[in-house]
Amino acid sequence: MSCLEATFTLTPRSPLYSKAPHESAYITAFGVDFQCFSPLDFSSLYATNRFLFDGEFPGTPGLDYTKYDNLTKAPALWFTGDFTAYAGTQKQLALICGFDVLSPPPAAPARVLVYSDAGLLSDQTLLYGDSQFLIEIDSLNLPFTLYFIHVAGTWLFRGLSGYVV
Amino acid sequence: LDVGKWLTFDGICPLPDGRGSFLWSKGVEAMPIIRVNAKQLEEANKARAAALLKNEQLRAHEEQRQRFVLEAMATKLKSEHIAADGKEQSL
Repeated sequence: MSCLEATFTLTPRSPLYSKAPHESAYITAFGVDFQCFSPLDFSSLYATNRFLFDGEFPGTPGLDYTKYDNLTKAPALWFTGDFTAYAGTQKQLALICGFDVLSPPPAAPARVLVYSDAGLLSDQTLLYGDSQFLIEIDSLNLPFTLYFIHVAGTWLFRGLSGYVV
Repeated sequence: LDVGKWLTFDGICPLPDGRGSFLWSKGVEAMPIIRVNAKQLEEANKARAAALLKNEQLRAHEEQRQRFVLEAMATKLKSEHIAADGKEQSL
């Protein structure tokens, strides 16, 4: 087994990475849920270090989430990264989002809109049995925020691992 | 970005500080990939700057969030320094 250490791993219980000025990342979550039964009760979610996004309470897929008023009404996870300490070094960031989808088909898959402040980057379907997707950031010259907006299905956020390469 | 050669592991990689990495169940070949280029980042940065200029609520929220994050970073760095000092003294 070969392992490459992540530059950082952000999870609900470890949401902040701060190594030096302009070498930091953090997540914040708005509108996450918990239920009264295991494994979706608060204690289980805390123990397994996951956020629940409940399929009964999704955001609206068709809205323009570059509008702040829309963004603040949607259940979402925000990632902010500042790696400008690497600016000009041709470094890139590989960001892996880890998740679990609660129910197999015929339940609908989960769906997440990945936004930047300028617009939609991807309408990502999260399939039952899958566990990750990758975001490649080609330049680290500017700080940036990504928004993962929950718009369908019940899924659990496990974390974001970042590799500066 | 050639991640194919190093994102093929399947296992937990414990880090010294206990954070660990993930148990990745798939190689990169099977993983959905979203690509963000420098131009998109620049546009996002401009859009955010423009939104902050015209939206007082957003600006206030952002300032508050930045303040909390900076405080959290300072606390974290301080506790790491204290832990490192303690380790040095015990050695």
